[in-house]
Amino acid sequence: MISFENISVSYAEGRAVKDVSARAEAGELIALVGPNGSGKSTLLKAIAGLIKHDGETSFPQSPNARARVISYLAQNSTAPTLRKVKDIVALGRSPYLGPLLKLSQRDKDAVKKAAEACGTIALFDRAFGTLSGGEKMRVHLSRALATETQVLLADEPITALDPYYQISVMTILRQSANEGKTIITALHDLRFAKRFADRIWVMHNGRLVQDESSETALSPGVLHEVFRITPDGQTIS
Amino acid sequence: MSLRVWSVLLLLGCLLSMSVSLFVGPASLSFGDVISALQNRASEPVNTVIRDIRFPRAALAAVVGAGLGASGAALQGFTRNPLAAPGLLGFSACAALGAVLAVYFNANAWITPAAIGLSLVGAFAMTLFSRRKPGATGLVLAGIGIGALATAITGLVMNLAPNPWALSELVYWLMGSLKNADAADLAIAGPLTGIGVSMLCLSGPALRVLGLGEETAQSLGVSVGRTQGLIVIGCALCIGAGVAVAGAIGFVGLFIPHILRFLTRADEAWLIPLSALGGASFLVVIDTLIRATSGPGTPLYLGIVTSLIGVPFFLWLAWRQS
Repeated sequence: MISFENISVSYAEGRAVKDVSARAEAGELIALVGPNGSGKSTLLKAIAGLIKHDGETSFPQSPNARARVISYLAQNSTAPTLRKVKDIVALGRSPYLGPLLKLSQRDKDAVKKAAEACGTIALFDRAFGTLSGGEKMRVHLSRALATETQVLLADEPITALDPYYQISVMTILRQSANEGKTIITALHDLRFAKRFADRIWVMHNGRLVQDESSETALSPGVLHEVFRITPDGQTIS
Repeated sequence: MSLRVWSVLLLLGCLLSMSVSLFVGPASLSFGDVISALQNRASEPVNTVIRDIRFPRAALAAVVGAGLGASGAALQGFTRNPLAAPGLLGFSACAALGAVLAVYFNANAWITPAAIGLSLVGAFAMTLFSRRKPGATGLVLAGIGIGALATAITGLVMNLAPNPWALSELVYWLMGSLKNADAADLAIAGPLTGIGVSMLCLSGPALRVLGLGEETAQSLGVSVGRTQGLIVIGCALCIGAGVAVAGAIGFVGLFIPHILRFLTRADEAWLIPLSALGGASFLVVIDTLIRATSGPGTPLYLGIVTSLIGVPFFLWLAWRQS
């Protein structure tokens, strides 16, 4: 479960997120949609505790304690090109490791389970730099799942992927939600939002303007006012 | 071969090169002489050559090389930039300014504290300027700016040198050398570099996670500001102490971590200690070769030789990355 109230984030140019309050239950997959610059990424970073914000969240304030509750998958995630995939996935266990960085059996089991869920075990001995874009994203997702947090925040995880990996990554997120995780993922593709999410949060000009089930959230009015498109896919000038 | 085995090999390589260096120099000494001198049982001149000249010089070469190697590995890891090195980020320039000011004011006894002091002042300034947003970009910008300022002031001090002899002393000092190394230098540089390298090694686990990007690392509980603080102070201690006793020695901090990066697969938790051992071995070998090949009247300067080796490597790196 995740809840936050009156989250606001201000930059020098003005407020990027304005008084956003919401709640997501365990087992829910929330699609966070909105036009470019609507505040989706900023809201996710604020919830993850990565940027200063006003308002309240239901998470621990200490970075290490929070890292055991929320995983964050950054937009344009990266990793050293020489590093082996298994070592990158194991970094998801960092919040649990002692100073000697030794993985316990529980850590190894978590890494294996996350890699199995994402189909990355076959890539374990490959260097990260040799992977395709889709494989890299699945490795990052494995790393995020390996932390075994209650909540996963993913910032546009499928934006740069081909259709196969888009569906593959969304399916993994859906399965993780089915297993009890709370997942909030920023998406640009409204069809994926509708197909995979339980609920859709629509951001517009820094505000959360719609919070409904994926069946009803993207009404003609929302498409018109927020996305400037018609239900049959025409742009509105 | 595992990284533990490589660590042992590099340590043995460092100890071996230090041992060999004890036999190299103008005075020809036998194996027995060197062993006796190490036990303080040789004749007075032999004791002096080994205990007061050759051993401190070899040990200082190892200490300075270890500090340079570890600093380069940590800076490259933190900035995620393969071209980052103590020389490029202003640490060496700040320490050199401190030492040059001490030489300019004819206060040679103050060279060491001035170099370490200015290096720490530079580190403090870098932290201050990147305070609003600690991280790679802030540190690189602040480091390059502060380094450029320190280099400009060093140039001004040389410009205002009261006479040609003072100027030549400054120029020769900046070329980097261990020819005047003694036990007192070792007593200062050794512990400071030890503390600095330990701080850099402590940053290794955080750097391993920072390879995933600052936001991801933060989300995994890593404090970017604390890691930057450990690295900046650790580098300031290593580079300040190194410049104080050996002058400006370039490029070791750039290419030693690069060579070892492939071995460690860019895992800073291993790369930093291995770079310390690699830097130590490299500088001892180069200094020993310089002593073996230089005539008494024309000593080669350590900083020049490391740059002559390092610059082609740097250009190769830039070419390969482009």
